[in-house]
Amino acid sequence: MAVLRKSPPADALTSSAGTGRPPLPARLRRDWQLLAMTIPAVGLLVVFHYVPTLGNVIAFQDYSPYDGITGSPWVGLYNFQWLLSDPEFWTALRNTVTITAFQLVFYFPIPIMLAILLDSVLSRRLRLFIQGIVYMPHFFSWVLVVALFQQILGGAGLLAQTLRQAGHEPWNVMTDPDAFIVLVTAQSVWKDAGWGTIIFLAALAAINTNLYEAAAVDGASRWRRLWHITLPGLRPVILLLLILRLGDALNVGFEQFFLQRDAVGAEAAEVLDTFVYWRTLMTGAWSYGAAAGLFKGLVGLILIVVANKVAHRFGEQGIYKRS
Amino acid sequence: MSTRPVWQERPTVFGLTLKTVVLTLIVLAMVYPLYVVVLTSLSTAATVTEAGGLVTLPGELSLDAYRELFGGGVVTRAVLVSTGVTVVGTALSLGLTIFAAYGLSRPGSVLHRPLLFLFLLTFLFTPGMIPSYLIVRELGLIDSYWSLILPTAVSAFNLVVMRAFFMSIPGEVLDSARIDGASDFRILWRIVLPMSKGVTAVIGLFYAVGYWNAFFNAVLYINDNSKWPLQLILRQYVQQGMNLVPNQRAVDTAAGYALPPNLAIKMAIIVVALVPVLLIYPFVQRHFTKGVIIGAVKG
Amino acid sequence: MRTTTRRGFLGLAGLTVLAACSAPPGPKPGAKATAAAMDKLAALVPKYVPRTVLTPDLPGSVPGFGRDGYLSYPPSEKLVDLVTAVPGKGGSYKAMVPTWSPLPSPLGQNSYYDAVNKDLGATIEFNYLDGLTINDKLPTLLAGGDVVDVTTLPGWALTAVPDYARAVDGLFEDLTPYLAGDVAAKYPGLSAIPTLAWQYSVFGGKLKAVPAWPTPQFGWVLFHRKDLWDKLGQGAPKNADDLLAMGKAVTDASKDRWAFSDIFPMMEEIFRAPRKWRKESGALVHRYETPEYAAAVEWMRKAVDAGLVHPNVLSAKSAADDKELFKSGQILVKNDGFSFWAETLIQVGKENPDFWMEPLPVFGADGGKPEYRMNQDPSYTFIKKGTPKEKVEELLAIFDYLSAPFGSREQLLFNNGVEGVHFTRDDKGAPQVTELGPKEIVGSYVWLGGRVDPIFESQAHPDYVRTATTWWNTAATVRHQDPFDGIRVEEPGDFTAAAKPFEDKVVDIIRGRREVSTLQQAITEWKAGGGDAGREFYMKVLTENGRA
Repeated sequence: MAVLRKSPPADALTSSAGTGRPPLPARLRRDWQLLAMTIPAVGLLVVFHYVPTLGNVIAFQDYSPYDGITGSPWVGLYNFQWLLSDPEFWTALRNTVTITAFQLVFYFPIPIMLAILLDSVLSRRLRLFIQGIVYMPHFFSWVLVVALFQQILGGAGLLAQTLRQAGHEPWNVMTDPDAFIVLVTAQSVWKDAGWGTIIFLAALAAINTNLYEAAAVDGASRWRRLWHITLPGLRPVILLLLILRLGDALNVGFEQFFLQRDAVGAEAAEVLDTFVYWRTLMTGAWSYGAAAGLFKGLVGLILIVVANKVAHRFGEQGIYKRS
Repeated sequence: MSTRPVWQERPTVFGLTLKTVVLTLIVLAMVYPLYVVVLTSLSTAATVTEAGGLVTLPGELSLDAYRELFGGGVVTRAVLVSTGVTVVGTALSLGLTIFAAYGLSRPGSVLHRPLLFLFLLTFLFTPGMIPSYLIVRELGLIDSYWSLILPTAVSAFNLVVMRAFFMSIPGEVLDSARIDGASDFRILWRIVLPMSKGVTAVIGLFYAVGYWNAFFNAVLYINDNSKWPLQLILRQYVQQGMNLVPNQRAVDTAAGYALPPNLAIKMAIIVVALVPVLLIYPFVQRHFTKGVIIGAVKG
Repeated sequence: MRTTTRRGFLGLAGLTVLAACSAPPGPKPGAKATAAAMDKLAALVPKYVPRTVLTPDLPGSVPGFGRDGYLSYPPSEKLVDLVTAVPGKGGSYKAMVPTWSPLPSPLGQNSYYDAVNKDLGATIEFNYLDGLTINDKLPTLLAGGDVVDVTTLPGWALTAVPDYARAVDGLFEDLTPYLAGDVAAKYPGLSAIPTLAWQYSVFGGKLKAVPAWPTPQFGWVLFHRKDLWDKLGQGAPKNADDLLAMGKAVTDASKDRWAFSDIFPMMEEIFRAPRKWRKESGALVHRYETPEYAAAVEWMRKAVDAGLVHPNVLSAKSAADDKELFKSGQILVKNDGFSFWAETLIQVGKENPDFWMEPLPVFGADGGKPEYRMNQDPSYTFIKKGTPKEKVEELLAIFDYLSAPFGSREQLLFNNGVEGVHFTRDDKGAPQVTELGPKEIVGSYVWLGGRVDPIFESQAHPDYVRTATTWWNTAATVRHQDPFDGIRVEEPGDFTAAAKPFEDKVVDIIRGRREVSTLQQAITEWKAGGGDAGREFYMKVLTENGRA
């Protein structure tokens, strides 16, 4: 692509303020097709996403749906001040960030490893079978996932009853606040890691087999090929998903935590989404909820921009390129 | 049936054993719950009651749960609705996403960064329910199937992933096409898409699964029960007898018709949700074949 | 009607905040508060003229709270034909009602709808609101104003929408001119709905709705598996210590048997903690602050410490499904709605004829009386604003028809469908559903119009009606007396918001993650976080209504 983007010689440029780009009409002539392809999707987003998203200005209001945005009084940063002074908010934020950080280390790499492992299965039919199986739990509801975990790990489950039969005091993993972060991560891995392999499998399939063959002929071992061909091949996709996950850092899901909140207590299980549910949806605090949403979005934006900068520093593309 | 390429060395016994063990464990961890779900969906109400929940040991088997689900005309109609929405929605979403992903795949093109940011921001800032509802209403889409498609037609996540795959296609290939005077539409159609079958299939699957399992837009935008999609219809079976509303349950008990929630039915619903994925998946998987002539992904 | 708004309380909300930044002056963001007393609204509602159709076998105890019992269904020839004139005038109406059941076949393919519509002389087409998502849907529905001719909304769902009174005012027709005063001659069915239910249907000084489902309800009933309880040699507990001791005696984890589900809400009532406020020497004491509440917390902690609560209930209550655990005998005591009783008997009775459950006999923690909380907030059936007079009158006549009580021909038709098609009678004359029944019938017409239902589900179990009626009428005599009975309060959002953090701490105490002694600290924090401001608000409401 770089070849395509090659700038014309600098002396040919006069108009575009030293950016090294050709003048706009020339660029339009060159790029109008690209724009035309993007416009339909942009149009839909503007209508169905951006226009209603403007409704988030109610974060700066004392909003009532029957007065509408035009009729509700403006209150400045009032809602944000309340948000940042709410101790429950800080508990929720702390838990959310901790869980995200933990899952970046103990969840994020698993679909990648699983994809590489699956990709190494030579029999096509066996691979198809295993892949089909590992996707399934993605379609289970959280209620079912938690119920299934109870069957094994709960205080009346397989583990506890076996311990009881052996005369030991059973350990109810599912009500231990210290084990909670491990528990929810295990549940997430079980439910979604298989589904998460799909993108990586597609990326693996896109790696040129000739490279492997050439490396093998040169005497590179299995592990060296993994390190020098497979991982570099996956790197752009891995980085992309990592950056997107960072942008989503303050979302760890709602239902999983909602269901198990009482089991370990709010101290351990309150996350931002459950906080917003209790604090705003249940009390009719529309504006407060919008403020919490804007806060989340803002943090996500900062994280994405920073992560992208870091990626550039390491010579990677990230999501968008430096201009 | 092994298809080991000639250049690949024979696996070591240790490596092979380890791989087999790990894969077997993974498969078991997934298959056992699946077995529990399917078995419970096939158990009689008495067996479920005796187990006090999910059934792990086979008792009396029956297809009652499935018969209950598909007994009325209501569910059959909803299957048609959901299938239609999924097919039309997936086609539309995939088309829009392919075009937009390609349109944004050349850094430096006109408005490239602002447009890309426009998509990324949707990922971060979400609209509230009431404003979304009012827009759909203004457009006259309440009780229209389009209200189940258009608001969620473009996913920024899918778009960015697709774009990353497009961008990994070696520039030289596209360059030579451009020099030959091919239009961007032609390049997309003739070069990029054929080289991106895998990711196209994956994104198509993501969209299809999304449409098939969605119910919340229908809650908000569809008042007419005859247009409810399958997932919303099925949820009615799941929620029967929920603790939330003892008062309202009394209405149906008084009518003598509140068949209490049967776990078997809940599990049958999950199985029903899995079926389309099982049907589509082999078609998706076919595109993961190796050896497509693509250069290594550039770092 | 007087209204207290939150705006008047800006100065009173002296909120201390414990966190990193300091909070701005003013209340926490949230719903605006109002209050309206029901008892001053007698002039706006129909005059109460009770009507009895059949003499009950077991008469109810307390008027307005007790329920009659009928040991058997009257045979068809004994049913009273209450409405002789056809109520409808051939009109066609769309009605939206909530449902928690699978959808029935639509109009045109549903012989139940056809039969009732024919008898009504009008066509009602039902659309159902998904009950589980009603809290999400309702604000958009009300904000968009897209209501059909007739809309039924459960009280708890409607009152959860901020500023609901304004939405009701803008969207629905004022029924005061049609129904205020003595209308018994015109609408005998509607006039037989108790006055309190009508008073709840007054919004903003206008009668806006017909109360649907005005039958009184207990919030919770404490059921036990009496069959297993007896088998394990246990009798009726006389006080809270008894219950704890019996719980220990019946629990055997190695046999997959635990005494309790999460029965804390019921223990509060057994310890006589108030629903919300108690008036003590002119001041308001909140439930959380009472020694009774603290004692209930302590009791529950003991039960958890002794391992008497089923572990799955502790690890994820909604995923555990304690109904199934109760049916299978893994849990022996659990609280649920009253209808859980008949419903479970109908289902499990077929599989296990020995199965028997009933509420634990009425007892208080100290051997005295409990204070059971009864729910009086009905559901509301609204008519769209701007409906012409003759259409409103046609609809009201239809609602009057649909208010026909048990023992009438009409009630059997709209409740159970057509004999021989939707139900057959067993040898004792009780209706048994046919296979077609549940596919065509869910609660639909029963929402339009209101009637106090007696206890009559004799098909559940031969002993059911007698045991249930006896228990109900005993329990109704020890119901909790709330100083705010009959006042509709939209409480300040910050008061509502203060409850959750407090209750989280209580859950922590009960589950053993916090010491019992920390309860006092939690109460202090609750007071500062909105509790005291709420007390001021409620006190003002009480004063304004002359109850202080």
